[in-house]
Amino acid sequence: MNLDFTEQQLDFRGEVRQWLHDNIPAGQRPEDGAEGREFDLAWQRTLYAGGWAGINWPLEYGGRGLDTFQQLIFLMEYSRSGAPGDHYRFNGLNLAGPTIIACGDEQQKKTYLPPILKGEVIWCQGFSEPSAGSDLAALKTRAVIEGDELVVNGSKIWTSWARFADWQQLLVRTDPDAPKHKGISWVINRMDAPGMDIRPIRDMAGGSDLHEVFYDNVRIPLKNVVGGLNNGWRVSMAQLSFERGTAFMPSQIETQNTIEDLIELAKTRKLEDGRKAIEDDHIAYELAQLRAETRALLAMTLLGISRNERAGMPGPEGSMLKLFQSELYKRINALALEIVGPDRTVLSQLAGRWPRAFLGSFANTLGGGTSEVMRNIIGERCLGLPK
Amino acid sequence: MNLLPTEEQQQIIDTAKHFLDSEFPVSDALALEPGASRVQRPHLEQIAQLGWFGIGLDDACGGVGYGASEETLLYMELGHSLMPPSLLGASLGARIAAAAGHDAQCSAILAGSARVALGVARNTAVPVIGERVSGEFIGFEGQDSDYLLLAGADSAALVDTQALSEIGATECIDPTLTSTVYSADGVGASAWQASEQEDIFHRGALLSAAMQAGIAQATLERSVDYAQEREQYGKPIGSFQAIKHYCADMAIRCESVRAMLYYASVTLQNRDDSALLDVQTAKTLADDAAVRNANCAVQVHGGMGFTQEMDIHLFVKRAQVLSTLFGGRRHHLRALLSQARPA
Repeated sequence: MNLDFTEQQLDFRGEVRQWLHDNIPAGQRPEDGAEGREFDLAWQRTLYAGGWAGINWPLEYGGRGLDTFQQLIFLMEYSRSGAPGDHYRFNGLNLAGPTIIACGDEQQKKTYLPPILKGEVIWCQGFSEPSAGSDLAALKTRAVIEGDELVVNGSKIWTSWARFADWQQLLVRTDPDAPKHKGISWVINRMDAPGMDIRPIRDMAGGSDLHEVFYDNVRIPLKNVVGGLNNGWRVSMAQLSFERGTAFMPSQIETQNTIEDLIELAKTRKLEDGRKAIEDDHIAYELAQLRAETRALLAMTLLGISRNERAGMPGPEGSMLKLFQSELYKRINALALEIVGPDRTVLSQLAGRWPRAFLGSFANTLGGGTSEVMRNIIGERCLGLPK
Repeated sequence: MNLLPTEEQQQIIDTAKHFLDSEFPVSDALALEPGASRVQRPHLEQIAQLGWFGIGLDDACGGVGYGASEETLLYMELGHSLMPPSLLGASLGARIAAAAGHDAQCSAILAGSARVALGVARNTAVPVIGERVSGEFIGFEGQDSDYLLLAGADSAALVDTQALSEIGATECIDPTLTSTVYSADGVGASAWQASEQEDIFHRGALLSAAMQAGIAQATLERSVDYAQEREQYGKPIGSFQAIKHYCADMAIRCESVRAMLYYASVTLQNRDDSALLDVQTAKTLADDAAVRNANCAVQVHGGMGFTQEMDIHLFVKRAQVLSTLFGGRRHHLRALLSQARPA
């Protein structure tokens, strides 16, 4: 049990810190989708040029080939530096890319990995369907083999950034007669393929990053199947473990920054009786409890990374981290409204970022597996309880 | 950087588990007469021979020379086996005696020949704890002990139990312990330390939090086992989400507290800037996890959980006792909120 970095790791940290300090783009990321896309890609190109893309990706596909702890150090420094978030780059860097590294063939790796790191493409996901949400394996979008192509018909929902993406990791049913988990394939689809129809969905926080995507005889080359035909469930499970196992450092730091900002706010913001919010016992205890849980989130994140390093892969405990972080983040944002008081009803600078953040925080316990699905996974896979 | 126990640390855990399972199974605690001690004087000496009371103490003081992490891992196992708080009294008492230069006292405690009960101040008056001790205190297992250990945030003291006025011994909420109420009016301490020299309060908070983590883990394990065996409506009750989700939440509390204890034990050992914040956080979360997991375990076990035929009630009660020691949740929540923003 130790928290010490080696000399080499400390040198590496200094190098990361200096580079970020010198290269973080000035100004806010644009709100507009198309401009946001350009901003994200430009920042990825800067990272790549500086040698900071794909820290733990293999060298031959443009990565740095470094170990878990260098990745951890990079992410810690990155998140603390105020550098731009992943935004539209998230899927390629954290989901599609790692899945292709783990399950793709040589040709797929050479074709699809370098453009992600070089800031040439944006990826999105096509997993959920209107009738297959938590029960993902019930998905119906059909892909029929015709010659050396798949012909896809059906629809997907909750696809983030679809209208700004170039490529999509798509789950389709390639064998309707097999048991539901055994007839699914994981394929790479072009978002500009003929027969695609993409419609944005307005979310409760006012955003429109989510989409429905419709497929009308969309043709995808068979060579775009990753991990083998009808093997898509296994491939997507590997992927969900990346989503739940790694890439937690940024959300841990974001949670920490949020609770610390809220504590600062409570020191200045006044209640209806004229006292500072933090002088109120109820608010003080809630803030302290959330600060404690956020501290535990850091320790859990480091423990998870330590386990990955020992075992060579993320364990099912990643589901605990996902559930813990998302529920915590929601509670912090809910407490913020109590501190802000009646100003919470005003979507202007009077209440700062908090009302919108509160509305947006509902997504955290839904996306990437609802809290209820997470509890099932923890019960069944970590504790061995029956289905 | 790796937060997992090393191979050597894992050996400490495994050895402790093995010894406790064979020598002090929790089933023995169920069979005890109320108020009878599970760890009698000869047992205390038997345990002392393992070097447990000095595991985190410098070898120059007669300790084993490991640090706060090894001590934390040991106390997690002791909590899991429902071992009494007087073991913690020994570890901390030896530390006070060593820091005060009372070598003979320290050796006697380390050898298990002198017994140290843990005490907590009643809310009747603000206690004075230092070179002289005043106030009203509840001592757990005080009757059969030589010293009472009292710790406040600023200082800690070992007091000769004979020097205290005993108001009365009574049944303890935890039937494996006794509660003795004492009063003191300027009683001279047998040994004492200010926290600047030797911070007994926060070390006690860390180690009692470790015992609470053991309780949280033990009640999770019992709940999961029961949920797999017990059938209703033709299925194990663990297949129902209502029960499964209780268990999942218990598991998360265990995981978060374990991670926080590992982390806090390292920062305390290293005297990092965040050490107090981390220990206060660990105690806060561990008290909460032990109390909630034990309470939840009663619900998972249904009517059987309410009986004394099962051992769940012992954990419910022990969690309440440990929650009173080394600062309750209100103390630590206040304290951790006043700490500087962590780096």
